[in-house]
Amino acid sequence: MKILSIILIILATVSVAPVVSADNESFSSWLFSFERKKEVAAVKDDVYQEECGSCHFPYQPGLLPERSWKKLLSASALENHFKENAELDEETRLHIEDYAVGNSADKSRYKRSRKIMTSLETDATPLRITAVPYIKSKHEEIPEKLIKGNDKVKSLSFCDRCHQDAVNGNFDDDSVKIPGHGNWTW
Amino acid sequence: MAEEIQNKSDPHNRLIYKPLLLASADDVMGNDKKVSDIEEPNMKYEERFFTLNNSHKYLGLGSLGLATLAILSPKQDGNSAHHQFAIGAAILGVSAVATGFAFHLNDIVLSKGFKDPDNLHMALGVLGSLGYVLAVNGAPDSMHATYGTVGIASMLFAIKLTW
Repeated sequence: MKILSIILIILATVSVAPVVSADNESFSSWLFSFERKKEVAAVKDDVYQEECGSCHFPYQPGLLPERSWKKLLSASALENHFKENAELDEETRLHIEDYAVGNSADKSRYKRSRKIMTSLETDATPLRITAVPYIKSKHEEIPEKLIKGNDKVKSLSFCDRCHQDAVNGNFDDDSVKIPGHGNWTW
Repeated sequence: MAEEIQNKSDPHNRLIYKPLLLASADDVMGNDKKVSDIEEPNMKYEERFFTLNNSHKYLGLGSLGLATLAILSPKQDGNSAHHQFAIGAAILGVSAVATGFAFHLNDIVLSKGFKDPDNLHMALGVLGSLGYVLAVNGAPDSMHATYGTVGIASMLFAIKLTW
């Protein structure tokens, strides 16, 4: 019976390994770490934080796959970055692109990044975070009056209007407090 | 970077910007909006200690703790600490499964199979609780230790997957 237990535990380990696989961390270091990786990795790069965060919420790289960031942060794309000129000097642009690509959803072991990748078709390259099926499905049940019809929110672009700890990559339902409405969960 | 405009009519010279729409679908704000027009997010975010959602987390962790205590406590017949801890682990484990289905069901997308971490979390959590229940039910047969070991290993992986 002990042998059966050991076999079952090994099988469980082997079945879990591919689900949590990521490029930048070994399975064993993930397994024996107490660090919480339930959400999305927080931005820890000063240049990214400063350059992107000066105009909009500094969206965590773990919210989109590598292929999306490469497309969004190319020199030509930044000339017309959602109808704005967001050109950067080449050194800064490469730094930001490297950081975004290196911490993109497909390279992250954080659970919400893995959910994002699982929801995407293999050839899909979303250029908007709200176009990611997982993100869309998570916001579907929220009445429009609480977002578009809410002067204090207006748009899903402003993640941190409702996700009170978004800056740390925490998008848990329990951290959602919609201005003028209150906590989203009980 | 994107165009930043100083609001010259504002005595505080607050910044106006056109929102970049990386996270926006088609719900574009029609006009330029002053940053100061929108309520600042709560900068002193404090995690709520108890919510319906995280009751599931506490129950799962509790079941794992009691199962560990059951393994470590002396194996005696009758109403021993080992037996009591095991029963406690089974009750909390089943409650964790029930609260998971009640409060986190929308995280389960069966069509994605075990590639989705929440699906595997659910399967291992159910297997873990089943192991606890079978272990308590089967005691003191030798097989109950196997059920208990499989239960605790499954529950451990289930929790780790969403930790």
